[in-house]
Amino acid sequence: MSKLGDWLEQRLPIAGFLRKNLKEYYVHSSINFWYAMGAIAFVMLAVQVISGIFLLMYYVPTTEQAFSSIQYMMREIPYGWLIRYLHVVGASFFFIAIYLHMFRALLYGSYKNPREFLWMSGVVIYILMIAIAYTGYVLPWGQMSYWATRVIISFLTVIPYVGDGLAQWLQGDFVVSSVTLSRFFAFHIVAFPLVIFLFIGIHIVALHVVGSNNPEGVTVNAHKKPAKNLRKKVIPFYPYVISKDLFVVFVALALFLGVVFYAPTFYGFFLEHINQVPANPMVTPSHIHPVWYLSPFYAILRAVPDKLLGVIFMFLSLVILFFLPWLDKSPVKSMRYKGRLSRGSLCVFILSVIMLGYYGMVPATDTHLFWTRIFTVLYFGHFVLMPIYTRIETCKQPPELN
Amino acid sequence: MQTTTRIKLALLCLASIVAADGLEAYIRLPKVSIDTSNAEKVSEGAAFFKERCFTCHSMKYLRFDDVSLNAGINPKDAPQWSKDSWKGHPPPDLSLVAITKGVDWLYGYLKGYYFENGSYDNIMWQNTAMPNPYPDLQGKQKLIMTPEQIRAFHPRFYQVVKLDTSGSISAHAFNDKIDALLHYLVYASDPSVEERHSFGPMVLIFMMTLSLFAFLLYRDFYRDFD
Ligand code: HEC
Ligand code: HEM
Repeated sequence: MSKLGDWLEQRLPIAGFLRKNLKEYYVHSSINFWYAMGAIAFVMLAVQVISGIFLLMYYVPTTEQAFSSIQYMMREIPYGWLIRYLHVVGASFFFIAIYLHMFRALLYGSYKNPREFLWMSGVVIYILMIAIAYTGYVLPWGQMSYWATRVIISFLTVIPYVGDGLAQWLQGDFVVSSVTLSRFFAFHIVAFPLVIFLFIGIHIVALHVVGSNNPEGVTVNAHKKPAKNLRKKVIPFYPYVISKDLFVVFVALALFLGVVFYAPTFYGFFLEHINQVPANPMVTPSHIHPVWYLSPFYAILRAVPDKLLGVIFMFLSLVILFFLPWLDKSPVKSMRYKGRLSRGSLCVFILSVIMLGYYGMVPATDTHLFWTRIFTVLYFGHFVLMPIYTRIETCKQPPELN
Repeated sequence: MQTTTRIKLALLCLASIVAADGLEAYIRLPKVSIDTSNAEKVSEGAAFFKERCFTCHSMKYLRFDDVSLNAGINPKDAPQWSKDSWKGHPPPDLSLVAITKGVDWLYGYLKGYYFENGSYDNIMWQNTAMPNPYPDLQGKQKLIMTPEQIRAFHPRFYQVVKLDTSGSISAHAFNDKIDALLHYLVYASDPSVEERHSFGPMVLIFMMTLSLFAFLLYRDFYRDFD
């Protein structure tokens, strides 16, 4: 290329880097639309960062002004409403993309050897996302921001010995107060995002070391140009996969903007009605629940009759994800070749996550609690029984690359 | 706060005790749909709000909203209430009420005053601190079902109250006023609707065109493998 380009390339090899990671990164051609969810997650992350920066210009992190500063921004700053709705709807879409992304990993066994580390970096990202979403939810200082914080922190106090100290350290005060708000603000906009960026970097590096899995579960060398007879089966990421990703990302963005422009609160699911009431420590809402993407965990928390055990099980429901690569003893990766038991268990698992999500949002009546407990057992059952059912079932023979 | 109090608090929240005895839980409200693109209705409602509600209620987030300002609803002139006024139930700000309470409930509440034993009460909120804002216009409604019947039959809203003595305007004209008021309250809760709906189609057409081109590009690349 030009002299300047060469000069720069010798000192900062951007072109070489891109060539290695895009054009000379090979994947199996059975890679399908599920594999575009990571790209969507990337785009949603960008949406959150950009809309977040603009929100930051107007949002005032004090208990007196937090709620009204957002209202004034939405009503008085040109496109202020757009900034806020992008961020609010963006959070939900980010979670939708991530849930589909994780489901893909379960479906095709992408967590299995050699991608254990990649999977675990993903679980860390997911936990960080939960932390970001939760601290962000507190910022508008609406009724649910305040009361959900109180309930969650009150649960921490049941941890023996350290509980009270932990709660106080988190709130920075003896009660949930303006100190808590400033603290969560710092977590939400600086601390957690920095860590999540780090882990997303690690995630991508880990992916490119071992290469992408695929629906057929065949092993592909991601860094070796395929032999002539394999050129239709092993394809470079650029320009093929990236063009598919681009298409899926645009469709997802169209859906996203459709919601932003036509149903920004999404009937109270993305922006809850109760949280449009400013926080009032004197008035307890009749029904406290988290946003949809966190509610399965809240359901598990409530399902366990003992408070301390409830907290433990809630954490376990996340931590157990780390062990998934070692719980799955199946000789094959993809559900396409696994047996009936694995498929059945995955269906039951997805059903139980959805039902737990539902029961986490409705009041805890006796019947609801009964079903919440059933689905909690099914949730854990999927993991705990995995070493057994993946061993005893008969799998189909996956294809070889030839 | 003591740990025990905290746990009790958590338990309380868990139990999620819904206000136990209110009759409103047993009344089926009509589905009200409001189209705020009807600018005339919205400003009509704003005028009615100024006349009947602004004496007590503020609209504090509508500082620079033309519709409100033209009707004389200026947050600067809004009444200020202390926390302990109105026996601890001062009139709340209504900027967001259409979202927080929902239009159906507002319809019921605003039309729910009935006259019994020499005073007004509201079927959607018994013993509400808000005095009937328009007994002169609406006239007197009376309850035509007993509380026991309401609990037993889950009646529709119009089966519960009936106009007894008419007011200074016809029932029809009064309904129109409430309808306009609801238009204004819905508009106030999210004035971005107009802008959203005017840009929405353009944005979506743009995104769909982009998607189409991306699709063609994708098809084209993958033809290499046909
Ligand atoms: C004389 C003062 C007064 C007037 C006039 C008045 N209100 Fe109220 N309003 C109140 C009070 C007081 C409350 C609080 C009720 C309670 O807490 O029991 C209230 C509550 C409400 C609520 C419930 C809000 C919530 O979030 O709980 C709505 C809605 C409402 N008013 C609408 C109106 C409308 C619409 C008008 C005009 C037609 C109006 N009010 C006129 C005093 C008034
Ligand atoms: C900010 C959030 C995340 C981003 C931006 C992201 C991004 C990506 C990208 C771009 C890919 C490659 C394309 C694809 O396979 O979709 C990928 C692969 C992968 N991700 Fe993520 N990811 C995120 C979160 C997660 C989470 C939460 C998990 C699981 C807990 C996870 C697990 C995986 C796995 C297992 C793969 C390999 C899939 C395969 O090769 O079959 N990721 N990620």
